[in-house]
Amino acid sequence: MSDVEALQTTLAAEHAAVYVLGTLGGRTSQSANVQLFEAITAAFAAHRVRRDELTAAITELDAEPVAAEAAYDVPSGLERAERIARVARETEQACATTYAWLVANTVDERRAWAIKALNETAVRVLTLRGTPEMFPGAGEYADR
Amino acid sequence: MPLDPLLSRRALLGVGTITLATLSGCADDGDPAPASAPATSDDPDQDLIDRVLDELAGAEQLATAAGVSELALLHRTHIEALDGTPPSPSPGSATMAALQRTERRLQSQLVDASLAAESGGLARLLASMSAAVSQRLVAL
Repeated sequence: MSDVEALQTTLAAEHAAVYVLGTLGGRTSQSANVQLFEAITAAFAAHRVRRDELTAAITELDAEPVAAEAAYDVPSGLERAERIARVARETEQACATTYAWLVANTVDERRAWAIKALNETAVRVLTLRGTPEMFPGAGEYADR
Repeated sequence: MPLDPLLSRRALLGVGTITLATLSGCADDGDPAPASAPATSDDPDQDLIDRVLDELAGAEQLATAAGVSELALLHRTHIEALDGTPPSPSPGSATMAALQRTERRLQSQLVDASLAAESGGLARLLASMSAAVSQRLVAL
């Protein structure tokens, strides 16, 4: 797999994450759930930065960055804060899996980027009412 | 049929299925992640694995001495994932400050080891371990 292909795959995931987290932020009460709102807002901002970095990296490789879809399907039942937090956690965990996959498929500077992204997204899971994991982004090792 | 290793529109139909779909896709990366690090003399990563195992063993003993059993369990689990043998319990004590220093150093070493690994699968495992330590550092 080429660097461009690996980065494009990760960018597609970032597009989806940005969309989902933006939707979750819009469904979260800023006054009634201050911490959750702040955590989702921070996650949304972080993934926008990652999306832009990936876009730039792909452009530098003379490729056309994959575009976001017009819309993504977001899970239902977002009336309760706990459900919103769970969807946000699962979004971060899915991103962690994608970053870990990118680690395996890149070297040097791009692998360093993926390792950093994996570490940051793993920590963000904790701000979304999550608990520490044995193998963030590589959960199959925990099942052995 | 390979699945998309990404948070795709299709995957978002049910977030609960994202991880499974993603993991399935990630196994089709052209550099299959080994279930554990191979321990053959021909393995170009063997020296790196041995160094990481030494660091993990030291961190496990310190966490045990500091009475942070959940952290010690994490390190034992990571040692086993690398096909290593966890160290025997040894008496001693450790301060939280020493534990924090050790965990920060270990996290950094795991990042460096992931960067240096020849095998993409091993790099992925080591990066995951570094992220797990990062999570524990938040609470230390």
